[in-house]
Amino acid sequence: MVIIRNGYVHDGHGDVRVADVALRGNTILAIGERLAYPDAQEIEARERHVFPGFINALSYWGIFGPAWTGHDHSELSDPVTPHMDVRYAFDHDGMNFQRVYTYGVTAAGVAPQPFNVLAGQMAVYKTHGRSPQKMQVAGNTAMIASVTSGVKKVYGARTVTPMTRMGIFALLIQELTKASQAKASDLAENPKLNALVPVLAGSMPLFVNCAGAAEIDAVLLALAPFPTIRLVLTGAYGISEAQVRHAGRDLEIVLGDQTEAFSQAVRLTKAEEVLPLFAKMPAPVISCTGDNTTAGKESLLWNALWWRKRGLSSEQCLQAITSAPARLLGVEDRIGSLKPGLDADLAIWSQNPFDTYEAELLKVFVSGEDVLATGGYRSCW
Amino acid sequence: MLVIKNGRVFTATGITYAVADVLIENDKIVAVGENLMYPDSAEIIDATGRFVMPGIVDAHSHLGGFGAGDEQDLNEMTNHATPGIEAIYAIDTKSNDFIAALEAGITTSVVAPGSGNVIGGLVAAVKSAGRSIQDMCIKNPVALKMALGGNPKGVYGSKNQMPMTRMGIAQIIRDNLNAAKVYFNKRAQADGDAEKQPPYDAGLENLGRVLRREIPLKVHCEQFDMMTTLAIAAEFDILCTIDHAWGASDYYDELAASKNLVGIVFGPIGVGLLPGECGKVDIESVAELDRRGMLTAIMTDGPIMTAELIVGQAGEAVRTGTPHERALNMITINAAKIAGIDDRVGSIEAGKDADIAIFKGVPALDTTATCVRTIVNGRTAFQR
Repeated sequence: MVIIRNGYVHDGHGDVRVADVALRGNTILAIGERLAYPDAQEIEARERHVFPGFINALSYWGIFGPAWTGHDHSELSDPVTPHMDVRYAFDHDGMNFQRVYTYGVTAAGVAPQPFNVLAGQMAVYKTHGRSPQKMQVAGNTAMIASVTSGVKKVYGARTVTPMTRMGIFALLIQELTKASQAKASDLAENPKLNALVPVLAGSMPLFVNCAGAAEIDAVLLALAPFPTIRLVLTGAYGISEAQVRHAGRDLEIVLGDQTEAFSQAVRLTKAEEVLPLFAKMPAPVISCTGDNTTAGKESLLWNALWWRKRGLSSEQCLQAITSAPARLLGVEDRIGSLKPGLDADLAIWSQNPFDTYEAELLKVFVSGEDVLATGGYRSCW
Repeated sequence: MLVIKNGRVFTATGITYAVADVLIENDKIVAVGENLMYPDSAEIIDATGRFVMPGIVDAHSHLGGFGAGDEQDLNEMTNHATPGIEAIYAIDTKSNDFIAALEAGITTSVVAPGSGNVIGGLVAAVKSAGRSIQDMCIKNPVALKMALGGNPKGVYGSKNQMPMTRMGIAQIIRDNLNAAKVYFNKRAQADGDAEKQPPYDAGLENLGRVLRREIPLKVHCEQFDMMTTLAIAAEFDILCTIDHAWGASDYYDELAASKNLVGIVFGPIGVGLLPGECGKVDIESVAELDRRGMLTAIMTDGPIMTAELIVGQAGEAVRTGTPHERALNMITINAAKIAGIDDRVGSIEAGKDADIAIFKGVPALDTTATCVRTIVNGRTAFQR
């Protein structure tokens, strides 16, 4: 039992108030004024900031490494692998080794790299823990697709479809159409088509990795015949408010990494075209992942600060890396907010890290464990 | 005359003025201080409420050398040692990289060959704006690039060529430096006799600059590879800079004791961790390196990291214990000193190049601090 006293408690939905937060085991027990429980460990947090743990909506943490080779993030034997499940690739040692919790990141979507047209299914994990099973928040949370040049590079070099965007979209449309027309007996025999059933039903969102406005346009065109698909654009560097307004369907967005410049995509983003989207619901999610694996422990905060510099408020930045990704990934009943009953995933900062670089992370709880105090799990990497 | 008026001026000389003016004549700073006199005809930039600092110096990058897609001109991976080649010929001055640099307040970048080879070639210091590469270059060479560890091992070891190991890497460096010694001994013995002169070799000539301590080795190394760099520098009595320096927190004593270490160029951070050389990315070490008197700079490794993250990383240095103005030194004067270009750039002082960055907000402290104007050689090269 832990009581965090008198901090500025940010709920992850825009509300900030001075309050106590009580944790019991791995859950948040109560938030309120002058909470009293016998035998509770008291943590004074006056003038400190208490945030929900940050969530990186898309990452390769736990599925890349443990060397420059040996990755498990890309099944590049076939450009269409919707039946791949990231849970068979996730190595908790790899995730723990990243120590992203030292920057307040307590959960992450872990997804196959988007170098296949249909790359497979992602899951959500805590960033610290003693086994993949203990760390898993949810499995099969989304289907990963991609229409970027990353796909063309892999297969074009082999003179195998897709070499062009035409090839990418032909494969994407064919698979979705086949799945939508498949009989029950077909599905039983074809795991690829079977994997697309929840996507077509709208119960599993389709995350489509895209970069420029032309790619986004092509996605909207190709998926127009599939109105039941819950479409999420990821990366989405060239997105604009106007494009979303005229999309002809509901659209959710995960903004890609803005810190790595080898990805030419970072030059596509026009912040002034994107910022109005944060006034709409659902607001975009900020992530630190693009077509690369370089994201480190600082990267998610840096991406939030990239948007902060360009006009978002502190609380909007916070929402974009807490409650917004939790809702998108369907895990808002577990993580992403400070509310009684949710997992005890939270961090205490000396100052507001969205405002000043002087802000230090003082404590971070992942599933109720005070990880900096316990020293964390010793990764075998 | 150009006057940047009423700004909060961080000079990188140990003095920060709460309110001061910077006077610029043509391409040089002529004065900085409070209540300076200047002619009525002077052009005024009102910097009231703005933070005025020296143009940022990025001590290690590859700007203009990596194009779109897979095109690149900075890794000549045809031989593990290519000391005769020069990064300056790889730099595309029209690259977007330089626009991003100007937007971030970076006015000078130390552009190095990549790390595919053990000996990569000569390193040049270039401004972010100018008419041509000749116009933009401040000094060439400023160093000879080398790389230890996984990069050259990966390139050559996978082809069953040396170096397949770190042992091979160290020997390649020693063999090249010894070959240069032999070359210059023969040259000395020839004593001007053309018949006895060894044939001209650009690579050995460049290694000679290192042996004469005219330029340092600029060595890509992390963790215990840093100690290999120091050992080779001691053996040949040559200068070195340690670049990337991940894991420096394990080696404070050894680094501080070296007589050949010009400085440490730390970064980038914000990278995924892997066991081995990419396993400790300890930006917190720059505070202690600086405290112990070592010249310490922070790099973007651009375009690995975007240009504006030079300030973000200085901010992370602040977060992990570096005093704010010491962190700003790491992206200005310290970087200039390490590159040997501090006679031209890196601080706001009379006589230096008029390279200035003007920020709204305090860089490396306020997360929203934004460069609003970048001046190179006395001319506004970027304005927001």
